[in-house]
Amino acid sequence: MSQRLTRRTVLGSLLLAVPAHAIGDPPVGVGRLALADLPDARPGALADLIAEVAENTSVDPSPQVAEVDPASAALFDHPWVVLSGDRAFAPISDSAVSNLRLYLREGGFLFVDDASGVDDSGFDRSVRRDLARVLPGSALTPVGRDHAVYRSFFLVYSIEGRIRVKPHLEGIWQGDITPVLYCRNDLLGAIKTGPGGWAYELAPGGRRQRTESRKLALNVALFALTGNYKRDVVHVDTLLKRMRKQGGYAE
Amino acid sequence: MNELTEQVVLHWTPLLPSAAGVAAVVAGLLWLALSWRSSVGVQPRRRWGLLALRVAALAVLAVVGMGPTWVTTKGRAVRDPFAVLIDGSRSMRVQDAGAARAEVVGDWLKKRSPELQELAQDYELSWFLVDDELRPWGDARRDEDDGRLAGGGGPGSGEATPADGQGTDLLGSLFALRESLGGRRPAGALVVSDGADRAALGRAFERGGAEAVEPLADGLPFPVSVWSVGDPEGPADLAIRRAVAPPFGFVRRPLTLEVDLSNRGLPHGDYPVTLRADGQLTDSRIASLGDGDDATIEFELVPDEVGYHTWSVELPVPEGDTIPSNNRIEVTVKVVRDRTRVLQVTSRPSWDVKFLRRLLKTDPNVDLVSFFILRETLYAGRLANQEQDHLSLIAFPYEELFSTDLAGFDLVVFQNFWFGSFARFSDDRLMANVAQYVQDGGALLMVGGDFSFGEAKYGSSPLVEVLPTTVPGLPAHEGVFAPELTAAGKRHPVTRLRRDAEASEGRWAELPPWHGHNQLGPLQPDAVALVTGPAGAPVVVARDVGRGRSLAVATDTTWRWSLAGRDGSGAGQDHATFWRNALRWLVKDAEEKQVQVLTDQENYRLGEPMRVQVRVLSADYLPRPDAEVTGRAKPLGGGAPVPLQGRTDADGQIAFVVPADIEGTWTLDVSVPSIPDPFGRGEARVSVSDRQGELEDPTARPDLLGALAAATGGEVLTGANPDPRDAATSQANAVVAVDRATEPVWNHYGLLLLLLLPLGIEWILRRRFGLK
Repeated sequence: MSQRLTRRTVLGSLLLAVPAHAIGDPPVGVGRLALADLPDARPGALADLIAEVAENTSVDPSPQVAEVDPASAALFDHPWVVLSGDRAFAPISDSAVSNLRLYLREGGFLFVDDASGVDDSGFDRSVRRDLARVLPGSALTPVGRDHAVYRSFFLVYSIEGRIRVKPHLEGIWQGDITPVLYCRNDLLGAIKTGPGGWAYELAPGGRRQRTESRKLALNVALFALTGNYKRDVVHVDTLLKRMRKQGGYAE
Repeated sequence: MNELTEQVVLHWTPLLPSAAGVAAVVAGLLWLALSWRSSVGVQPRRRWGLLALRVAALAVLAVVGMGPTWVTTKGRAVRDPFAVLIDGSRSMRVQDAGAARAEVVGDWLKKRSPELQELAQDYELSWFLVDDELRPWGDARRDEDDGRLAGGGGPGSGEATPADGQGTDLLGSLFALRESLGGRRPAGALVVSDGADRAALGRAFERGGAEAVEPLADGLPFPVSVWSVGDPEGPADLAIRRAVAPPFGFVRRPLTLEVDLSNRGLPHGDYPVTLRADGQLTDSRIASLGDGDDATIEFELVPDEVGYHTWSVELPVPEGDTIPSNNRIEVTVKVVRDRTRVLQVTSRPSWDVKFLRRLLKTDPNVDLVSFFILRETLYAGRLANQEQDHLSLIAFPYEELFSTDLAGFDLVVFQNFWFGSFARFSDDRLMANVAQYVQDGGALLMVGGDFSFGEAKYGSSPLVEVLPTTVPGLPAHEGVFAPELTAAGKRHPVTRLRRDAEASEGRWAELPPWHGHNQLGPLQPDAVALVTGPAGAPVVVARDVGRGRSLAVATDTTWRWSLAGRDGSGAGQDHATFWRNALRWLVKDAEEKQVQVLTDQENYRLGEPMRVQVRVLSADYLPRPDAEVTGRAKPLGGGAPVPLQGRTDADGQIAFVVPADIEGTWTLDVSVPSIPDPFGRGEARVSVSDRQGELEDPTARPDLLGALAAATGGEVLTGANPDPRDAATSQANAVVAVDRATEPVWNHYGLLLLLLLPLGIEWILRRRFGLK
């Protein structure tokens, strides 16, 4: 749904004086899971994403991307972490497994991005292996089109990235909550900028693919912050009507 | 009249059993036949003479065989009982024509005292009062314990007869009459009543008229005569016939209170009907009622908090209204909360917003409506501008939310929320609405952030009137600090993370620190600081304001408790406890009720028993057996409280029965000393009214009494001063034996001579006639 344009909101948008800073630390940030044998396949891509969030939304994010050891207590300073790579990695330590398990159960969110661009990648095998250890019994399954991540800021119609490996995201559910989302299409590669423009060409390519990739990446960031809020909002009218019907509302 | 009498009666007691008697008769007939045959040849005249002599002998023998015996009975002559039943119910207080019905009856009893004394010559006269049950009148009124019968000077005094009974059950009383007379069947009964019977007889008559009364009265073995008092046209009365509300309601949901009104015998008028909630006038209507009119009006009630609420409805008492007591009625409704409705608004998503929303969203007792402003201005951001048509955003319906929809929420959460994020001009009107909502009983939670408190300049907005503190226009403090409980915070339900205050305080000391806080100003009246930050700066402050509550949590990092990791083990539960405590306190939800007071209903008729059950639970919510319970049931309008005391049974329960003998609102307060306050207290409230019973329709019903007399063969006394002797339709004295003697006659010598005489003559004559 698009925002209703009113004289008031137009005036508000033109004349708004936004307070400058947030309290607490960090305001809103993202941490990159740092594994010893997994170099950052898309360095700077998360900062690009943060900049996109800061420019287009009301969120006031920290521009710093923290490197986070999954076995460390510092993991819990970052409610949103990203694991990105293009190759296989060694099994993470048992302490990292238990730390991540606690993290995800306490409300942390993990976004995984496979930068390899191939269907049967070593990174993918490593991810599935370790997620099965972190959340045993909770397998990755395709994310349906009604998921909040497809509407957390933009309405996203196709699952793009640098290259189309899978037409959908995958996720792990715990009740109504999706603490893990997994993209196979090198999403960070599609939004990474380099000197003078985009860092990578897309396959098959085209402006639409880039735009949809940027929208999806921004949606993932907003989903990390708002959870299933957007699924909620589509029911607001119904809820309000129900409440009016029950009484307590003046029409 | 109890002199001894003697009565002699001849009784027949056959000497032979039936079969032997038959054989004896057959033998006698054979004997006659042989006698006849043996006299062949004798002149017929002589022959018939001989046969007659034998028949005479047989007749004497038959008399002897029947065993005649004289029975002499000595005894006492006893008069049959006759019962006079006087209606002692409250409807007899009604003044139909200047005097109450009970006064009319009292006057009649005095005037007819000679006739009644005459009746007592012939019958053993017994006096009873009839209401819900049959009560002896006379001896009983001397019983000082029975206040109901103390009124009235007794038959013949001329005073008004007692009229305190809650109802009238004529049929039940008549069937109980024989037992009250020691098992003796009365010769008859006289019922003096207005016929306003709402029990079995009244219901049957209403349903099927006199025909329906007949089978009911069929079992009565004595005639019932009646004298009807009161005006069948009904007393002049402006009345609230009944008021009906649901037995329970929900907070902030409208209830309908339906009130039935009637006007009987009073001139047309516009009568104001007023509604009071807990004594405060809340609504008023005009009911236009002419003579004979009925009307129903509805009030909408909106209870604003959980608990027992009492509403009273009143009509004025116009001149000539004979029953002023039915112009007021009270109704108590138990109000519960179904689900807490929370509005969460934020101008900027943050981790604190996410974690609080996650908590509220997964709470089955919360209906959460969230609005996050995800984009501050319409034209910010190249991607968003380019994809304007593909934004999933909806307009923020602030106008509706902060005006018409506001009252429907139990709690409004401003979490890092600034009116300027959606409206350029500070909208004092909407903020004033929110302030009024709190004053009217709503709840406001303001959570910190860079768009909150002083950062949003709430200190100069209408909202500051309901915030717990003043709000200086100062920037937020960004340092890390360990939150510290104040003295009040150690006891306050919002900050109590453990049941034990010391354990709670210790737990706070273990929790992860908070990062940054908004600076608050001095506390507002009735506000209390619960948690402080650096240099004692207030961070969590609670306030009762108007009929509502507000809470300031001037930080945006409580999420760190939820995502505490191994270093803050269990802090996630404390995050949930803190916010749930805050929510419950804000919406004035009942504290965890370990002591529950339950009643079988909320509205009682006067005189009904209130059945009260107290349930006591332990801290783990298991039944608590053998717990001492103390308390009292107290009529708020005055009167002696009834103590409630005892120990719970194995199921953690104890029951009390309290007579609802005083009109008005009662509170039932109990405490369990072994459970610390406030968890060891429980209360309930009920209303007691006499309006739903006898006086609901006190119209006299002579037809009903006439049907009763017709069904039992009694008389209907008529006129203003009937003769009570006309009620006695049968005269049947009885003798009660005290001695009895029997004297057999069959073995008397005279009878032997009577037997031998015809046989001897017959024998002599047979010899003279030459027969054998």
